[in-house]
Amino acid sequence: MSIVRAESLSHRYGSHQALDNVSFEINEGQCFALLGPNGAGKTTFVKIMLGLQNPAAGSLFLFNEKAGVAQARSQIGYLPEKFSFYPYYKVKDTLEFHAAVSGLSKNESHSAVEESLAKLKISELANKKLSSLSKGQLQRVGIASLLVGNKKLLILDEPFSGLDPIGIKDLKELLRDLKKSNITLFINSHILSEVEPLCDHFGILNLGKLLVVGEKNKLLNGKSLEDFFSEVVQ
Amino acid sequence: MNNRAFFLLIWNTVQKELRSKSFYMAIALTIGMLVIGFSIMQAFKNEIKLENGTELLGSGQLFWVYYSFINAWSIFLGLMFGLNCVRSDVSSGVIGQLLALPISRPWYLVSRVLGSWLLVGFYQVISFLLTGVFFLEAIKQIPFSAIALAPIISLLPTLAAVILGLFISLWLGKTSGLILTGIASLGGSWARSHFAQVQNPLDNLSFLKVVGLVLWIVIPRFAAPHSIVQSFAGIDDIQIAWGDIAQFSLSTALVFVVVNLVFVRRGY
Repeated sequence: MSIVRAESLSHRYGSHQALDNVSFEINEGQCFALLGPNGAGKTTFVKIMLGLQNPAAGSLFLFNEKAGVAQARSQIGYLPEKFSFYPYYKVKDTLEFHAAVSGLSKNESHSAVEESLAKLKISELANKKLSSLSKGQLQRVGIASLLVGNKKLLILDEPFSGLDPIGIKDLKELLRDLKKSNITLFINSHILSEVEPLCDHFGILNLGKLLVVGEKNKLLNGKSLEDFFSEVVQ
Repeated sequence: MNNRAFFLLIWNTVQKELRSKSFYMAIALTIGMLVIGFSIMQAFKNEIKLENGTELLGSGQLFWVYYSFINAWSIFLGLMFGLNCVRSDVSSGVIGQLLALPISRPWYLVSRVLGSWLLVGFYQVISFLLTGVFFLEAIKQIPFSAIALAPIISLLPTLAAVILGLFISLWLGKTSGLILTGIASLGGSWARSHFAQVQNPLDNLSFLKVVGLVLWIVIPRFAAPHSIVQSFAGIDDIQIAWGDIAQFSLSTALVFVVVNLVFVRRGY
């Protein structure tokens, strides 16, 4: 089943072409990494996926519905590069807010929140305010917010940024578990070494153009992702 | 969007303001102005009498002065909350995360408007209760229907003020928005008094007159609904201003529709 389908997607900010005729497809259960240097158009693509930006041309479909439709977003979890929410909210209130908006009942929310806190090993932070958390702790709360509600597609924008080595290791394990449960992962990242073992498909964007897209093993053909990326981009 | 999420968003709007100092400043100001104003007016009322010994300002007249003051102050607060309710999410960067959740943009706007309206309603309740205590004797002489209608009718212009504030906040910040709204309201008020006396408003069009006409047509006439209360209170020469009430309702609805159209298309 197609989870994400971009058809001739283009977008520009003034004279800057952020996306230029981008087309590709992500199927259910895949772990897809969108790679590219700064200003390649990755963030614009994510914004269009989330309905935060309307494309200038072309279409983007999520679960075969046009991106931007609230119904399509109910199956999506989004982790921005820097997770931020109302600083006066407690961790558990933040997660319960996400659970409620995702359509869980009060009872379902409580158990989903406890489960996600335990999975991220941050149960002791439940009653702390977001303003008192470190960058890494905040990022873990953001990741925990992805686990409440029945999400089928997780969009992670630079998920490893701000995490300490243990946090990175825990997140990788969590993402592997999620992959096993057939959740589709979309990772937007600069850190190629962290992404390489996780993803099974990837695409490389540069200056708004999609240079390559496909299955990792076929594209790399024995090369490292870092070498392949340098070759393609340069 | 489900009901629980909708009510959470409304409550979240209230929570945001409860955290700000200006919320408590406004409470102190509201109570302070009402109490000090009452004391000054009482002194004025007792000191200044006509030659035959009757008071120049009766309690009944003072009550209506208070009524107008509460409504003007509520409109100012409505504009303040309206200017802040979405803009604070934009400036803190939370809006992207909120709108990435399954929250539809029109419902997000409605929840922000209702939350802000609830807050202004809270100030109005405090103000009307205080006024009720101050003018207990005067109120007894006013028909019950007018007393019962006054707080309800007063909520309508504040709703319009919140929506107008939200509209302005799509382009301007809090301070510049308040200044512009102040100028526009003064212009609207001037236009109202000018065009009320003019037989044909389209005669001798100048640039200033066109601006006045636009303000006259577009800016909701906040005072219009109060004519209902004053009419029920039996104040001489006051009739329900149905034309102005229609303009008030239509322009408020139009502003909200425009806010929605702009917000739905805007990238975050």
